[in-house]
Amino acid sequence: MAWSASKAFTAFITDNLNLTAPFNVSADLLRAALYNNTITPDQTVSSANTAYGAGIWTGAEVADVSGWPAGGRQLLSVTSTSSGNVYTLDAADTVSATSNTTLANVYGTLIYDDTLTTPVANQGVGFIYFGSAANVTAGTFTIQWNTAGLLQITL
Amino acid sequence: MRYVCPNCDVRSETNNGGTMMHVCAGLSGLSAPMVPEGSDAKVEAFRREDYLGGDLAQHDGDGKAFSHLVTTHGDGHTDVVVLAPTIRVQVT
Repeated sequence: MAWSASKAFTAFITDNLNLTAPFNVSADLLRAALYNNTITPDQTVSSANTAYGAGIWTGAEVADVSGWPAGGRQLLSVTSTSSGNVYTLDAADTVSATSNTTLANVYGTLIYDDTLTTPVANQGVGFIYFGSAANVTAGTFTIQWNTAGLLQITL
Repeated sequence: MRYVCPNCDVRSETNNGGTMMHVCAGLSGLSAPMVPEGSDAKVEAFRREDYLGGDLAQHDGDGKAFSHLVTTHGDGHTDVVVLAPTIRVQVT
């Protein structure tokens, strides 16, 4: 198995509705950490196993110490809004910190809340599958978020 | 600095750093990076290799899903723009 789809964690929805995790995605520090294709993300894992540095997210991370360090890059200009019956979480495109970044076999990203410390530190929001391997050599790595946002919930 | 697109006729000038993007007619409407005028860089778009499932992927004007764009410079270094899909949750 490997990456096959982009999903929100069910624990993210449940813990928001039950107030068991104090997510505030409009104000918290969200990060995008990168991973190779040796993992199989699962949206139904426990809250603890959605977190950066836990479960499958303990290994397989792809990083460049200066450009896209372990732990990922911060999402900037995050918006959390509704229009009609559609909720959208969006952000400005996320760009490597340097133009000398090298990353190999990047297949997807874990979006997680770096502000959360309890009950689960760094709890995940969801994961996004890029659809194929992306490689950058001594250059700039950019994630251009879809115009529809990172996460869209239609009610 | 002046920027051009190797895939269409768009030219632009900016004093800002970073990657200059534009809607590229040569890549069927994908939002694609431009390159410094006079460079021998090329920009290529890569189709999504896997099936879409429920993902809301980024498409060109012909409805084809793409995963990323690669700019290859004359000295061999590359820049990548990942065209990230949207996580879609549908209650209805």
